[in-house]
Amino acid sequence: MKDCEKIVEALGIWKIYEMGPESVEALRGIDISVKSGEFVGIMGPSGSGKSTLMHIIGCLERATEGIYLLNGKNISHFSDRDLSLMRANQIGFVFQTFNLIPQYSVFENVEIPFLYRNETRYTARRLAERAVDRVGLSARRNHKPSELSGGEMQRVAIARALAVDPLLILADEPTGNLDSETSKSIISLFQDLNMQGTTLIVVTHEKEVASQCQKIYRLFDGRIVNNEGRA
Amino acid sequence: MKWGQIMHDAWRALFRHRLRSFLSSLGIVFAVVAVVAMLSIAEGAKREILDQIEGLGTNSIIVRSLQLTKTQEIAARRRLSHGLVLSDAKALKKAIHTVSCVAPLKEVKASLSKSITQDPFEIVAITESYQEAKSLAIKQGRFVCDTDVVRRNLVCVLGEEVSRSLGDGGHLGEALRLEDRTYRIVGILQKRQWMHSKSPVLTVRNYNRAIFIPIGTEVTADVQGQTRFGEISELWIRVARNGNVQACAEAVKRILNRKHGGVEDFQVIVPQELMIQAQKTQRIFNIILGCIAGISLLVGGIGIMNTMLASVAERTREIGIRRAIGAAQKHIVVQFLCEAIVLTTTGGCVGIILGAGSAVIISKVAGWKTVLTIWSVVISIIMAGGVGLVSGLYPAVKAARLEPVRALRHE
Repeated sequence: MKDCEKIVEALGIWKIYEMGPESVEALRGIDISVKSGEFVGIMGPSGSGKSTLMHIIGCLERATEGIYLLNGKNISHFSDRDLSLMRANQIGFVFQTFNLIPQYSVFENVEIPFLYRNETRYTARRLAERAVDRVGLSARRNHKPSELSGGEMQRVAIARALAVDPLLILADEPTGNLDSETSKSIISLFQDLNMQGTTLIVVTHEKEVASQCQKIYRLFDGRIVNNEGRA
Repeated sequence: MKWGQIMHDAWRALFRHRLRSFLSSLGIVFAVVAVVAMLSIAEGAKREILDQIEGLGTNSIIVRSLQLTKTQEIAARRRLSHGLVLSDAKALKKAIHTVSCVAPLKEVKASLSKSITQDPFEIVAITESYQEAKSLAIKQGRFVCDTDVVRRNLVCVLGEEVSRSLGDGGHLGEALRLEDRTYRIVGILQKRQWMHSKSPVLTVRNYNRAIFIPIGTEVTADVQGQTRFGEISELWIRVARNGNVQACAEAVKRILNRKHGGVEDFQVIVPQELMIQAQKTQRIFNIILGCIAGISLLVGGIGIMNTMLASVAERTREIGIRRAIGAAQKHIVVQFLCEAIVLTTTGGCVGIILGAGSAVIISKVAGWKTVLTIWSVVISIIMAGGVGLVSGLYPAVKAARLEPVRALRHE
C-alpha cells in the first residue's frame, strides 16, 4: 500500500428515520475508517444497517448525527449540490441490481457520469473507452443491457464506477444477483482493481467476497459488533 | 451543462415513446394551427383594410353627397341647399388654410357607344386639382386642365386598362363616344396598383379602369345655368403636412353645415378615423384570438404535464441512478424541462406548417386574404416553448426532489 491516508473516517454516526409517529434507528453510533487502497467489507444480516451505512459513505444520505470525513473533508453538513459534486468526482457505485439505464448502450452507460462533470467530450469518450476496455467489454460496447448476461451487466456497472477515476468504489452486494462462476470473475476483477490501487468498500454477506477483504466491519442492529483486520 | 448531450437525450427519451409523445403533442399542434391560421386571417384582414385606407390617403378628407328623397330635396332647397356643389370646393379651399387641395368629382352614369368588356368602365367628371389630390401620374399626353372645365372642352383622359382595351381607338388624339357626345383622348394614365374593396364605406376607385372628363361636360350636367341638386358626388380634400386632419374635418363639417343651411345632405369621411377604428377593432379581435389560443394552449399544456408526470413516474429508478452517479437536482430539472420543451416546440413547428397550410386553403376556399408573418411564427414557437416550460416545470421539480436512495429502490 503506497498511501496510508484515511479516505473515509466516520465517527459516532447515527441514522434515525422518522416513520410517522415512530423513529427507527438504522445506525447507532458507527465508527469506521478506510485508508487509501484498502479493500474493506461490511457484513451483517438483513436490516443491520449495511446499506444505510453505504449510502452515508456514498453521500446519498446524510447522517442524523456524527461526523463523516471524506478525504479529510467534513461533509456532514454539505448541501445537496455539494454532495452531488462529491458523488460525481470522488465516488463510484456498483449495485446489486446493476442499475444500468436500459435504453443506453454499454458505452453510453459508462459515459453518463461525464454529463455531470467538466471534462470535454473528447476526454469523456477516451476515459469511458479505457474503462470499458479495463472490464473487458470493448467488443460489446454497442450492446444494450438487455443483450448482456448478469456478469457483463455488473462489469458495465464497474466500468461506469471506474471511468471517472474515483477516490473509492462502493459496491452494494455486487455478486448478489450472479451465479457462482460469474461471482468469482467479479471478485477477481475487484481484486485486480484493488491491486492497481483502487479503494473498495463492499457490502456483502457472501464469505467468498469477504475472504478477499483486508478489513471487515460486522454490523448487527445498527452497531458494529466486530472489526476484523486482515493486514 | 452539456446542452448538446442533454438535447440528444431528450430526443431519445421522447422517441422511445413515440406514440405517447405524438399523442400528447397533438394538443399543442392543434393549438398552434389555430393560432397561426387565425393570426394569418387577422393579419390579412388588417392589411386589406389598412391598404384600402392608405389608398384613400390618411391625410385626406372625403365629403360625399348623400342621396335625398324628393321630399327631402324640396325641404333642402327651401333652406337654400343645393346638395354638394362646385362652389363648396371653392369655399372650403378659401376658408381653411391647412387645406392644400380640394378636388371635386362627379360619378357619371354613361356608357361607351360600343361596349368593349362586360365589366363597364367608370366615367368620372373632375377638375385639374384631382390629379394633385390623387397623385395621378401621366403616361402619355396631359391631364384635364381648368381651361377644359371653363370652356367645357370635350376631352378625356383614360386609365391604362381602358386605353389597352380600346386598342387602336384608345390612343392619344382618337375620338371616344360617350352616350351622344364625342370626346378626344388627350392623356393616358400610368398603371396604378389597385386593391378590390369589400367594404361599402371604403370604395377605392380603380384608376386603371376610369375615364376622366372635365366636370360640366358630362351628359347629365345642367346646361341651363341653373344649379342642379347634388352637382357633384364627392369632394376630395387633401390636408397640408403641417395640418391637423381631425381639426380640418371639423372645420369642413362646420362650413358645409352653414353653407347648406343645416341640411345634412353630405357625409364627411376621415380615412384616418377609419384607420383608428379599424385598429381598435383589430385589438378586440386580437384579445379574443389570444383567449382562444390561451385556452387551446392550456388544454395542450395539461396533456404535456400529464405525459411528463407519467414519464417521471416510470423513470424514477433512472433518476435515482443519475443522482447516484453525480447528477445534482438542477441536472434532473434541466433534463425533464428539456424533454417537455422539445416536445412542445416540435409540436409547435408541426403546428406552424399545418397552420400555414390551413391559411392557404382558407384563402383559396373562402377567398379571404391571409398573411403569414414572421412574428406570428416567432410568437407560436415562443408560446409552444413557454407551454413546455410551464407544464414541464412541476414534473421536473418533482423528479429532482426525489430522494436518491428512495428513487434507486423504486421498482
